[in-house]
Amino acid sequence: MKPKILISSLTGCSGCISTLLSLDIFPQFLERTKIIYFPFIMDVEEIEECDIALIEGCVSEDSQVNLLKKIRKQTKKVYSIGTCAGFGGILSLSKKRIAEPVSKYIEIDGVIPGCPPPSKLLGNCLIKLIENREIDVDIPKKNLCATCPLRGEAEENFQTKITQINPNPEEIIPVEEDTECFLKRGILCLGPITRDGCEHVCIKEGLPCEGCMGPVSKSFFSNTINFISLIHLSKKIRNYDGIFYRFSKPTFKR
Amino acid sequence: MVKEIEVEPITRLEGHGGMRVVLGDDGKVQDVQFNVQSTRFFEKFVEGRYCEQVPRITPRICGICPIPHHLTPTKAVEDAWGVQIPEPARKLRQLLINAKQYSSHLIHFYALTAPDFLLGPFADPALRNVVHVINKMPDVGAMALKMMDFGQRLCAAVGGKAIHPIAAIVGGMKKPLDEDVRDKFLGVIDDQIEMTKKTVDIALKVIDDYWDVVANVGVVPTYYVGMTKNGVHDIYEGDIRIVSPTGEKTDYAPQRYLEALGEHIPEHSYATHMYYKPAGYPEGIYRANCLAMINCADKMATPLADEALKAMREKIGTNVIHHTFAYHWARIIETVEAIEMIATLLKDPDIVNPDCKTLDVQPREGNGVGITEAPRGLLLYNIWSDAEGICKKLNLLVATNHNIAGIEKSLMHVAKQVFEDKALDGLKLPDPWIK
Repeated sequence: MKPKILISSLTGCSGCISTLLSLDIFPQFLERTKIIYFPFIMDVEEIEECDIALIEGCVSEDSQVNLLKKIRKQTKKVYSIGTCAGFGGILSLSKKRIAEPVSKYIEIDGVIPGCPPPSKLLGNCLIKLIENREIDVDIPKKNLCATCPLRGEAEENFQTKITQINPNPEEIIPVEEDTECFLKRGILCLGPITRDGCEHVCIKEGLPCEGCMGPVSKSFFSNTINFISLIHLSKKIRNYDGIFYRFSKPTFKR
Repeated sequence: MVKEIEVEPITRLEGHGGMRVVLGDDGKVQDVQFNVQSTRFFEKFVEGRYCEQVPRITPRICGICPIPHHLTPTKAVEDAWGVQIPEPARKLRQLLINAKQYSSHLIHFYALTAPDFLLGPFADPALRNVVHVINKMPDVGAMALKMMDFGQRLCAAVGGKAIHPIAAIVGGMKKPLDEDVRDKFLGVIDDQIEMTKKTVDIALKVIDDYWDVVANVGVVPTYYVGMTKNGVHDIYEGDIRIVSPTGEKTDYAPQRYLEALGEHIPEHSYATHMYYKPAGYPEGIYRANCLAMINCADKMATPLADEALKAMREKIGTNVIHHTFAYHWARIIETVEAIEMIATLLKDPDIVNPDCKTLDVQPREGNGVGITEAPRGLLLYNIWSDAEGICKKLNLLVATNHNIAGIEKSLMHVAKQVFEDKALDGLKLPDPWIK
C-alpha cells in the first residue's frame, strides 16, 4: 500500500512547498505515495485519514490551530517542514503578529529544518519517510562550526570582538583555502549556535551564518547566552531585536 | 434571503486567499471580496536594521518569487546611497530574474492552470491537478518538470540559493557565473527553447479550444500598471508605465511612484485598493501581472516573443487587451522572452566577468526606490536610510497590493455574468484532453 500523504501550508512564503516541487525525487515521490490533500496544487478541501502529514509555515491564526488538531487526529505521523513550522521562523520577529512553531499546539514526530530545507536534506528525509524509516534530523548533534570550511574553527571558550554584522563588499568573497573564520575577523556569524545540514551554502558564498537552520540544541537559550558572553559587541553595532535568533524567536523564549 | 458563496482556501494559489460572493434576494450580486495575507509586518520589522540586511530578510515574503524580493530592495538601497553597479552585475541580475520568471511562469502554467483547461471546468475536483496530468500525459509532464528544473537550477547557480537567494549585494553581485557551470546551461539551452516552443503550441491550442470563454467571459476594462524600458518590455529595470482602458500610455520614473499609484481604503474590504491617482477612485482601478505588462509594452525585448505578441494582438483585435483569460496567453509570451533572454545572457562574456561588484559603497542619508517586475506584478521598494545605513522606513508595494482591486473588479464582473446574466449557459467548450 502506498502511504497516504497530506501537505498543508500555514502562514509563510510557500518556499518549502516550492522546494519540494522542484526536488529531483519529486516524480519518484508522486509514484510511491498517494497524495490526498495538498491545496497548493489540488482542489480537495476535506481532510481524511492519512499516514504522513507535512506542514509548512508558522501558526498565526486560531483557525490554523483547529486545522492542526484535525490533522493530528487523522494522521499517523506529523512533520514540520522548514524553520517557520519548526521554530517559528522569521515572522516571529513581528511584534504585531503571533508566529509560533507547530509543536506549540500539537505533538509532532520531527522537524526537517531550513529556510527552505536544503533540497538534498528534504529529498533524503522524504524517501526515508515513505519507506517508513526514522529521520534523524530533529536531534541536531553538531553546530555549523564543526564542519565549517573556514580556517580556524571556533574552539571552546574563544573570545572575540565583533565590530561588524555585514561584511564589507571586498570581504564578501567565495571561500578559498585559507579564508579565516568570520568571528575571528570580527564579523558576527551564528555558526556556533546553529545546527548543521545546510552544507554551508552562505559561508561558502562569503556570507556569515544567519541561523536559518534553527537552533543547535534544545537548550537554545543558555547556549545563546553562553555565545553572547564570549563576544564583545562593538558599540558601533546596533543591538536590534532578533540579532541572535532571527529565525527561532519562539524557541528562544522558552 | 441573502446567499453567500465562500471559497476558502482558494486552491492552486501561491499564498493563502479566500473569496466571497454575496447574492441578494433578487439574485443580484451585492458584493464580492477577495482576501489575501498581508505583507505589512515585514515593513515594520526591517526598521532599525542595517539596509544591507533587508535584501536577506524580504525574500521570505514569497517563496515563489524570492528573487525579485532580493533584487528590488538591493536596487532601492543602491538608489538611496547613489551606488552605481558594474555592467556585468546588471547582466547577472537580469539572468537571475529571467531564470525566476521562466520557472515561475511554467509552474503557474503547468501545475496551477493547465489542469483546468486539460480536464475541463466540470472535471472531478479530486482529479483536477498536476499529478493527474502527469499520470495521463507523461510526456508533457516530464517536459514540464524538466523546464521548471532548468529555471530553478539556474536560479541556484546565479543566486547562490534558488529560494531565498544570497547573491546580490549592495554594489553588485558577489561573484560571476563559473565558466563550467555556464557551459552546462548553454549545453541544454537549445533543448529548453524547443520545449518552450512546444509549450507555446499547447497554449495556443488551449486558447483556440476555449476561444468562446476567452472572448466572452471576464472581459473587464481597467487601467494597467507595468514596467518598460523606453517602451520595451523589461522585468529588471525601467520606468513605471500606466495604460488606460483605451490604450493611452503614461510613464513615471520609479521615484515618482506616488504621483501615479494611490491607495484607497474601501469600506467593504480588509485590504486597500490601489488605483491610478490622476484617474481617481474607482475609475482608476488597475490590474498588474503579465497581461498588464503585455499591455504596457510597445514591443517585447526578444524576436520570438515579439512575434508572439503581434500574433496575440492581431487575434484579439486590439492593442490593449481586457480579456482576463488572456493572462495565461500573456504569461506564455513572457516565458518565451525569458528563455530568449537567458540564451542571450548566457552567451554574453560579461556573465563570467569577475568585475561584478563595486567597492565604492558608502551609506548616506536619503531614500531610494527600486522596481522590478515580479512574476505576479510590479514590485516596488522605497527604503529610507540614515547616515549610518540603518533602515528607518520601508514602503513596500507587492503584486498582491496592486491586484486586489483589479481582481475584485473582475470578480464582480464575472459574478454578474454567472449569476445574473447566466452567461455561462451555451458557452462552447471543447472535449477534455484528458479524463
